[in-house]
Amino acid sequence: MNQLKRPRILVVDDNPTDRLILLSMLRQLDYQVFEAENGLQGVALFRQEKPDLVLVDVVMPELDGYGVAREIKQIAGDSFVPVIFITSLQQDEEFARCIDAGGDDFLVKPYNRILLRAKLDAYSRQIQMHRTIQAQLEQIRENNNHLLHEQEVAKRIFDKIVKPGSLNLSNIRYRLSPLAIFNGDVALVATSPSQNILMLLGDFTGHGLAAAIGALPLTQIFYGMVGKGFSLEEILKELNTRLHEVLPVGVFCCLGAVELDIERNILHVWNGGLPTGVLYRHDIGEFLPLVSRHLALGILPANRFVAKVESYPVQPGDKVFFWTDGLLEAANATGEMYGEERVMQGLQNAASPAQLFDALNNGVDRYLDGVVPEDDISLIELTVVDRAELAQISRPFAQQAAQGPVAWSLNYNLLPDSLRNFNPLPLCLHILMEVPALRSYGGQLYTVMAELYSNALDHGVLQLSSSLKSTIDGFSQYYSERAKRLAELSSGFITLHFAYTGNDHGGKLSIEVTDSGPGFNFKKVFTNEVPSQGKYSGRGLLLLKQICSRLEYIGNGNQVRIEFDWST
Amino acid sequence: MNSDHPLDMHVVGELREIMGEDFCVLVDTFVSDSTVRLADLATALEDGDPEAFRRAAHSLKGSAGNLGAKSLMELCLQLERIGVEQRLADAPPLMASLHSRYQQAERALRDI
Repeated sequence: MNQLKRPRILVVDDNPTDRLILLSMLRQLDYQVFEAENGLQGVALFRQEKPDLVLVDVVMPELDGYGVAREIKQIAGDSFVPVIFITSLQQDEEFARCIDAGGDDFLVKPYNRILLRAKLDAYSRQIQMHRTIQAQLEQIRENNNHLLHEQEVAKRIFDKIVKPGSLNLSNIRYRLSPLAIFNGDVALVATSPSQNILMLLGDFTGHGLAAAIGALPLTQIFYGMVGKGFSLEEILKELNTRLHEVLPVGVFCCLGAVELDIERNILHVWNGGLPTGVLYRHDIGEFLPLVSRHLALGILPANRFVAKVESYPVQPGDKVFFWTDGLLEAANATGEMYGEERVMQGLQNAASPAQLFDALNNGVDRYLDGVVPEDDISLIELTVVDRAELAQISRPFAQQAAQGPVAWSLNYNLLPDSLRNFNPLPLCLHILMEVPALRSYGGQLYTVMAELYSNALDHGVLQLSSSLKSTIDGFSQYYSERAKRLAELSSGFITLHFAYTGNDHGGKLSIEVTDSGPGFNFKKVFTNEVPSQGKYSGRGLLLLKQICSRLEYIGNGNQVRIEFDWST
Repeated sequence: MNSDHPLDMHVVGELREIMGEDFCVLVDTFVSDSTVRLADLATALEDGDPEAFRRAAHSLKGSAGNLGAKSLMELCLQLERIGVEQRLADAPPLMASLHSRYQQAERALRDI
C-alpha cells in the first residue's frame, strides 16, 4: 500500500549491452521500462512519458548524465522524481559530484541485482509518501481558498445587513475602514421618536467572522429599541443580555455609547471597555475624560450587568469623542505606539473646535507615515445641537429622488392562525420603507403600528383589560392570560389598511386598524386631555399623538385611523 | 574453477537467469557493440585523440564488467587511465593483449 503500483522507470545509457542487462533486470522486478540511448533522447522521452524514476549513465557523449539530471529535475518541478546515476567511476569525488548535480543516488557497474532492487524499493516508498503529502497540500490550499471565498461572501452580506443608520447626520463625523464590521468595529447612530440621538461605537474582540457575527444582534436590537423609544439604559441591558447569550466565552464587545437628550440638554454616557473617551466643553475649552467604568458587553450575566449611565449637562457646540484601541495602538515604522498622550496633545493643539476631529484623524495618519496599522482605527465625534438644528440636519433624507411608490393603498387581513403565530409589523414596515421619503421616519412609524396593532390584538380581539398591568402580580397574570387566549383563539380578525400619496415635497400616510372586538366607548375615555393611569393605552396614546398629525376612533371604537404627514 | 577463465561464472549464471531465453541476444549485442568500441580505440590512437580513446575504453570496460569478463575489464581500465592522463604513446603495446582477451571472452560466451 505504501509502494507505487508498477513503477515506471526510464533508463538512459549509451551502451547497448549495459542497457539490455539493466532493462531485463528491471522487467524481472516487474517495473515498466522505457529506454533511451543518449541524453537528448532521454530528456525527450522523460517529457513524453513522465516516468516515476530515472536511471541515467554519467558518461555519455553530447549531453552527459549530469546535464540530463538537471533538465529532468527542472521539468519535474514540484514532483519528486528520483534520478539515480549509473557509474563505474571509482573515486569518492565523483560520487559527491553526482549528488551536487541534483541526483538523488548512484548505482555502480557492474550491476548488483539485490542492491538495485533494494534502492528502487526504498525510492518507491519515498515517491508514494511525497505524493501523499502533495495531495494533502493541494487539499489544504483548496480548503483555504474556499474559506477565503466564504469570508468574502459573508462580508458582503454583513455590509448589507448592518446598515449605518443615521451615521450620515451632519453633526456626526466618523472614521471607519471598509473592513470595519469584519474586523469587529461597529458604529451606529439612530434618532428616537422623541428626537433624542443615540450613538454607539463597539469593538468586538477578535477578527473575521467571529467578530462580525456579534454585529448582527447588536445592530438589530439597537435600531429596533431606539425606534421604539427605549432609553439608553434599557438598550444596554438588552444588548448585554443578548450578547452574553450569543457570544462564545472570550468574545465580548467593548462599547462606548451616548444618548443626547436635546430637549433637556443632557448627555448620558456609558463606557464599558473602550479607551477613555472625551467630552469637549466648548465654552471653557476643556476636555472631560469619559472613563470606562464597566465591563464590556457580553461578559456579565443579566443579573450582574450594570447599565447605569453618567449624565452631563451640555450645550450646543459641545462634542463627544470615542475611539477604539486601534487608534492608541497604531504603531509607526519603529514599532512605537501612538498612545493616549499624543491623542490628547493633538486635541489640545487643535486650532478650533471644528478641527478637533481632524486632529484625531489626520494626526494618527501623519504619525504612521504610510505604515498600515494592524488593527482598524475607528473614531466617532458627535456634536451637540439644538432642536432647530436637528430638524434641519435630519431633513436631507427626505430629499431623495421620487422613485418608489407614490400613490398606493394596501389591505392586510389577518385571521386567528396568523394572529397566533405571526407578527405582521416588520413586513408592513418593510413595505412603508419602500417609499424613500418615509425612510427617515421608520422608527416612529414602527412605534405607531406596534401601538395600534397591540391594542387591536390585546384589547380588541383578545379582550384583555390593561388595568391588570398596574400591579406586578397583575402583570404576569395579564401575560399568561394573553397567551392562553391567543392559543385558544378560533375566531376574529385584524385588518390593517395603509394608504399613501405623496410627491417630492410632501406626503401623507394613513393607517387604519380594524379589529373584530366589541370596541369601547372612546368618547367617554378621551374627555381628559391626558388619559389617567391604568386606563386604555395611557402612555401609548400620548406617543401616538406626538407622532401622528391626526388620530381618530371610528365606529364603535374597534377601528382607529391615524395620519402621518411629512413635508420639506 | 580455473582462475584464468575469461569469465566469472557466478556473474554469467545470474545473467542467464535474468535474460532467460534472451541470453544469446545479449551476447550478440555485446559482440556488435564491442566491435564498434575496438574500432573506436584504433581510430582514436591513429588520430592521437586521448578523449575519444578514454571514452571508448570506458564504455568497453563497463560492458565487459557487466558480463563478467574480468581480465578484459581490467585491461580496459588501464587503457582508460592512459586516455585520462593523455599518455597515448603507452597504448600500442597493450592493444594486442586487448584483442586476444576480447576474443577469449567472446568464445567463452558463445560456448554457453
